[in-house]
Amino acid sequence: MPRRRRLKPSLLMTEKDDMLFALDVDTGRVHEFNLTAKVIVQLFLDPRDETEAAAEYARTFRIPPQQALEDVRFMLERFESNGLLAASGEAE
Amino acid sequence: MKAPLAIRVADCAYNLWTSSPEAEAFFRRAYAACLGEPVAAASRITLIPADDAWQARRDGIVLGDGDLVRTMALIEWELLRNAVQEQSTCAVFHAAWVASGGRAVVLAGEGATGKSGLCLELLPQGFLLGAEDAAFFQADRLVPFPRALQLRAGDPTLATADVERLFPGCDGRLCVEVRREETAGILDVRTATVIFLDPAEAGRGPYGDGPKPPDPLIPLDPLSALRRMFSLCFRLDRVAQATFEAITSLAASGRMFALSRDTASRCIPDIMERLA
Repeated sequence: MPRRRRLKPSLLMTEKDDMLFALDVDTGRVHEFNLTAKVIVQLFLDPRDETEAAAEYARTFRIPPQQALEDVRFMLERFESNGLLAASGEAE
Repeated sequence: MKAPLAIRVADCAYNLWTSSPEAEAFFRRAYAACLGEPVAAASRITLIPADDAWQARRDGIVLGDGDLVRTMALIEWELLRNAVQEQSTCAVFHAAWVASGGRAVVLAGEGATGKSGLCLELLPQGFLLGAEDAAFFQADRLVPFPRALQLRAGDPTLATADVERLFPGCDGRLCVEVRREETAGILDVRTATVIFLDPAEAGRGPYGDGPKPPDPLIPLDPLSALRRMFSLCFRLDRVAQATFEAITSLAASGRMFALSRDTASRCIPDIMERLA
C-alpha cells in the first residue's frame, strides 16, 4: 500500500505574490517555495500518497503523469531532507 | 501594606507589594509608563523582609532572597521572564520599537547591539517609545512595554541623556526614565518597518576605510529578513498565523532592512519620511 505523507502541523504558511512562505514553529526555520513547489506543498497539507498527489499536480499544470510523479517525488525528498514532513504516525 | 503597584508588561499584569520605600520608588520610576490600576487577576509579586534579608515571591513561589538590590533585580527579571515564557499570549522578539506618525520602527538585534541607546537618541527627535528590549507581537498588533531604558554605565549615548532622568538600575546598569507622554500606544504591525542593527566595526567607520555607500540602509530579501526575524523570537509556539502573515507582508514589500548601528540615529528619521 502506498505510503501516505503530509506536512507537519507545526508549519505556519502564508502566500505573498507567487511565493509561499512557511515557518516551522518547532525549529524556527523559514522556508520559501516558488509557484510550482507551492502547489505541491498545498497538496500535502492533507495526507496523500505520491501517486494521488502526482495525479492532481498533473491535472493542475497539464503535464504528463510521469513528469508530475518525478516532480512530486523530488519535492517530497526536499520536504523530507528539510524536516517538513509529519512523522509516519501523524500522517494518517 | 499599602495598595500595590500595578505594573503592565505588555498584555500581562502584576501587582507588586513591598514594604520597602526604596524598592517602591525604584519600580515606580522604572515602570512609570507601565503603571495602571490594580486588577484582581494579576500575578502577585511580593518583596518582603525575611530574617536579616529580603525575599521576592511571585504568586507565593519564592524567587530568591538576599539584599534589597538583589531581590529587586530578581523581581525585574521575573516580570519579563514570566511574561515572555508563561503568561503572555504574544510572540516576543528580541527587539526594541519606537513610533512616529502612528507607524512603528522595530529595531531588531541580539543583546548589546545598541537598541536601548538608539531609542535614547531617537526620543528627542520626536519618536515615541514602544519597547526597549522585548517587542510583544499580539496577532498583527504591537503591544507596548515602555519600561525605562537600561544602558551599561559606559554607553556613550548616556552623554545625551538629561541627568535628571538617570537613576541606578538593580543590575549595575543605568536607567533613563521614560515618561508616559513619550510612549506609543498599540500599533499595527502591517505598517511597521523592521531594521536589523548590525554592529559597526570597532575603531573604524561603519563601512571600513572604503568610500561610504550612498545609502546605508541595506534592503533584505524576504527569506533572509524572515530568517533573521524569527531567529530573534523567544517563543515560536506563540507566533500566531496573523503575526506570521503581517511580518511576511513587511518582508515581501521591502520593509525590512539591515543598518549599521553607527548610522542608525541619523538615518531612521529619513527612512521614516521616505517610507511614509
